[in-house]
Amino acid sequence: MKTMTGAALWLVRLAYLTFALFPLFWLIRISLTPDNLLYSEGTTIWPSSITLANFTYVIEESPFPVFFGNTVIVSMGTAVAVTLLAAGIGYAFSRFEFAGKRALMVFLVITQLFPLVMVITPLYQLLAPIGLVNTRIGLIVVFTAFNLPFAAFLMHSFYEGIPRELEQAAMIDGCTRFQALILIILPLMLPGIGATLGFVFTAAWSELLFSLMLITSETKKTFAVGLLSFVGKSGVDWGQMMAAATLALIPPAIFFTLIQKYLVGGLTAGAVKA
Amino acid sequence: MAEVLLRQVVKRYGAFQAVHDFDLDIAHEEFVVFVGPSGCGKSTTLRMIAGLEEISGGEIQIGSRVVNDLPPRARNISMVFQNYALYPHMTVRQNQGFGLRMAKRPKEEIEEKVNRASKLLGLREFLSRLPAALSGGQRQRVAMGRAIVRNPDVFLFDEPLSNLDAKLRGQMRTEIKKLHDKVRTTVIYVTHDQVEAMTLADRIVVMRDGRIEQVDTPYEVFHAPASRFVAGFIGSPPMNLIEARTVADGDGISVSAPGWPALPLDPAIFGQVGPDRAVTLGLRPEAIAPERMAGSMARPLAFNADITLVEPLGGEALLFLKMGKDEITARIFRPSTRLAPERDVRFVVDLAEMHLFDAGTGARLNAPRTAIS
Repeated sequence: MKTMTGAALWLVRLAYLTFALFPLFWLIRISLTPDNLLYSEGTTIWPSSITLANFTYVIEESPFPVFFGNTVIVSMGTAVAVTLLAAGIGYAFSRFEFAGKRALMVFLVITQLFPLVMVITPLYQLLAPIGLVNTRIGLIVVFTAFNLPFAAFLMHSFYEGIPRELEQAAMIDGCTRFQALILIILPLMLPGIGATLGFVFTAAWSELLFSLMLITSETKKTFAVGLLSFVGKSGVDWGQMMAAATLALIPPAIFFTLIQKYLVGGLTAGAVKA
Repeated sequence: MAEVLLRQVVKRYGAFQAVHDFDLDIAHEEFVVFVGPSGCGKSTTLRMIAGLEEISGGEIQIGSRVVNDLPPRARNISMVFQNYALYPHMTVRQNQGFGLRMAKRPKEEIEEKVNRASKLLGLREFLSRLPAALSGGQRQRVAMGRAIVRNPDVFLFDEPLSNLDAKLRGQMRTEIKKLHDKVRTTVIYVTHDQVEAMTLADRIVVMRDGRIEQVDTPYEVFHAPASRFVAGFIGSPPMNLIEARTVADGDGISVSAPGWPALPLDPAIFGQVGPDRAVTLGLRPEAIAPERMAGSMARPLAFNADITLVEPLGGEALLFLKMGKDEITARIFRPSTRLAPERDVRFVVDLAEMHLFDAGTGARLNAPRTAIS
């Protein structure tokens, strides 16, 4: 009976994984398919021969390495900026009582209600006079602004999971509030910081709308915008587009591998009685 | 010397006043317990002493230094929290040494003090473990070790045993008592458990609605409760409290309550209580017993009652009697025969153990014990 349930569970997991990962598989499959087989062989699960020509073209002849570099800068910049700011905001929301706190929190939620398309024009008009249009810094500023509210709430909920008594104990043990934050709270916040970094990095990595509108010069494009350049007048160059997209998956994959151990919860276990 | 003085200490949260004009002198090395129902302001008062809550008025001194505006770290206190508040990412050794590391003490001194405290608390084999790998009782010990190691002027305990099961709570209670005998320091201990208060305290502070009801030794709080509230709060099972009236009775005065015979008042104790006054009569369960198993009583008075329920507890038994519309508890030690519900049983009550409280204010009407000899 037990093995039956176990087997059924694995079957469900397998079905889910197949469903979730199939598009990814298809992406890689097409990126490896030679151009001449792409249409002739149709939708066979694996092409009769494979090639790395799409990858060599993307890396050596297309401007994609530059796009990657831009995207890494913008995504990392956004992730770090948002996480630092959200760490401060979340801490204040969690630990301090101040006038207008509730109003401020509601206001942050409200900013999330507007469709992004609505704010593009005003945003452009705001950024243009101060020279932030068509710059990577401009993108970082805009992404940071839009990701900050959610990240602040995420951080807030992680802070709420850490008992106040821990800081109080530390402050009695000789810490200032800031020392208690750095020595006691920060190590316990690593899962929250990891989650926030990961969330914001991914969001910024694949952002298209603002990058498309705010960046015009070829040397500052992010890869999401760059992908569109494979859509030509005469048709879409699927193989190269998929090769570029496959490469674009690598940085987030590396990033998540690095932070994944902090994403595992349970670090606060044993601090207080549950 | 670390006495703690509280002068007219007040705590307000907006319009709500949590603590009213709290006045208390705590002597050097004294063990004082704040006890009261939840919401009585006992934890708030403790946290004001710790510096975790600002005080809205009054003055707090620790060791003759006014600490009103000092942050917790500058007050030289230690605190043990109800949920232990151990640093989860530090080992038992690091947890205990944290305060000394913050004070930048030399490594050897930290090592030595942590080892000494760990020996005292039986923690030596756990020094390298993280809090998550410890049982509740062990975590409690680490929290106490962390408090002791710093050699503070005052120990503060905030309901430290509330998260432990009954058996462990009893054990740890004894350990805290022994610990205080070894490490003589001023202790302020907050609990809602009157048994902890009775067993641990040099003096008990009974609180209610942000005010002190009584400050006294456990013996006095039990035997001479200052108010009806204290009488009902301290003691388990609680004192029987019966609404009654005083009536003129020949030369003297007696208490009349429905279902009870007239209970004559001893003029030496109740001289100032006049007739025709609404009072609350207080009788401890230990002061009432069936006549056939009653021990010696100073002023026994017999009456008849029905036993409606018996709770045998082994070494003792609780009897529930119906008197008028009140249910009265009697507590029998070492019951000699099997007890069962029974009608019309002959009981005795010891009138020397009688307490009277004003029905309106709840204030105690017995003459002060020192006045009686």
